Amino acid sequence: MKELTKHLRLMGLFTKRYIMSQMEYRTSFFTILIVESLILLSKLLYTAVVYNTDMVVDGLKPEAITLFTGTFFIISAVYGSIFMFNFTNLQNSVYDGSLDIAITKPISLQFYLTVSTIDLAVPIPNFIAGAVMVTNAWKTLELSMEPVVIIGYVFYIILGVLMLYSILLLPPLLSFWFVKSEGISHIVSGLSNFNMMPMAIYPKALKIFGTFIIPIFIVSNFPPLFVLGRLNVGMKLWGILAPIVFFLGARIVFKKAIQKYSSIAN
Amino acid sequence: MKKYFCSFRMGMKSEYEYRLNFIFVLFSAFFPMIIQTFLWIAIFENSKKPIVYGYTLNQMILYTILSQMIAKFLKTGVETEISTDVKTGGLSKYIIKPFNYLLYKLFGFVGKKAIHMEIILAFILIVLVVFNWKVQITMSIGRGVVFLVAVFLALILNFYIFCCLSMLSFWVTDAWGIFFGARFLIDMMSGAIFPIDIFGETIIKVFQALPFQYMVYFTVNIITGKISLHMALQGIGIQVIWILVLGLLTRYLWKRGLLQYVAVGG
Repeated sequence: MKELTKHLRLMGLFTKRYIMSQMEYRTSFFTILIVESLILLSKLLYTAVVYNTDMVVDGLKPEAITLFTGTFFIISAVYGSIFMFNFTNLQNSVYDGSLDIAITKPISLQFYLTVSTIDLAVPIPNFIAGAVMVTNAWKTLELSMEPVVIIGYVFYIILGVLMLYSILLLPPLLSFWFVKSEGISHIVSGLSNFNMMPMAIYPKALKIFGTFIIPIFIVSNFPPLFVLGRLNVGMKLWGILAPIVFFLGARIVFKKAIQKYSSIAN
Repeated sequence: MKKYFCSFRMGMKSEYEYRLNFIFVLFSAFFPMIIQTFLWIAIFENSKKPIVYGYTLNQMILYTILSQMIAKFLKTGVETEISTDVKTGGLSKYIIKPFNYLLYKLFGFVGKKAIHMEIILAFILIVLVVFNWKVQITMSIGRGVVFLVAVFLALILNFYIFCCLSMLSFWVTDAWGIFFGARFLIDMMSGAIFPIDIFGETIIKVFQALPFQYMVYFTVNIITGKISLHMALQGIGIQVIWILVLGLLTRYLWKRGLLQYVAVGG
């Protein structure tokens, strides 16, 4: 508990540092905000197509499909806010040797390297769009407002973030072995976009691959599936177990990677 | 002219060294391709009409695959290169030499793309053979030649669009946000994400008055058979006109920009 409080306090300090730096470079904040909004706009085209064609897949109407897309945007907002820049910086710090300073810090190295750079400009458009879409879908579909459903949805979102963290951390960690791993990072981060649509649109083999082998569908397909009552007991348990297993796996790889690190400054 | 061919050869050689990188870039295009293909399959299965947005399912899948490939092929980084040269003062070493900087960049860019062209053409050929075997597409040698000409002109057009945009570097210190945002907007307007037919008549009319659709939408539709050979030739004429207009505009902005240029670090 003491450790958790300490790390939460540190996250508060990282956020404070971010706000202070953004007050200094306000243009940068608004530039990122505009760029992120344009990226969002290009992703919203998928939703526009779904509505225009009145697409129904596996009994899911356009409103239900936006529940999936909205959840994807919310999780993207959390990832973009807390982890995205850290993962990019991690690769660079291995490449330019600046990891040396981070190693000397008296806190968990994985926590410091993957959480220390917070950004608030990236998540704003994604979060707003996601929240609006989810709220609208919830209302239109007249989904249950019972606390169990809402808490369950939030719980699976947290697990989804944990899953995304564990999957997307692996490519930057490869930089400890290969120094340059941007190509692989691009490919793996592209995987998360599969969640823009319900997994029902993909063929069976892809669904199995995305649920059990690289469980990318757990990220933002499982929370809406839970709300819609489409997760059986086995899947509910897998949705809890897989993020924990993958997180522990990522932790082991992280420790191995650090052992591999040789500073270029020496 | 000889000196510009040296730039062309240099571009070819440097890109040949990193040809694997382009294969990685192409590979990253597979994910949106897969997502969109299954999205369209779901839409067509659900729709009672055999034609959606003016395309049959096979035409739409072919469009999805080729548009992603062509968009990756056309991609330029010239705006970042020019911006860095202006910002760091690196431009000084070019403007004192007896050649035209913009032509030097153009030939270097085309040289790089000559290497990519082999990979992309091989890929397109495979896609067309597979499609021709599965379904009949309107293909002839004449159409193939017109397509190749259109792709080459799209490449030059894309170069001049981003070259024109890069001239902003003379007035804006850090224009990365503008470049990044513009890339997404141009992708949208060029038909690289979805065919522009999804936007509705009014927006299509606006897009038709702009040069962007002549990069991806127009070139891909020559192959899908959506436009006649006569219209394709007309489109090529419009591509040439846009290249001239943007070339002249770039030249004008370059001259004005040079008056603003301060050789920082030069």
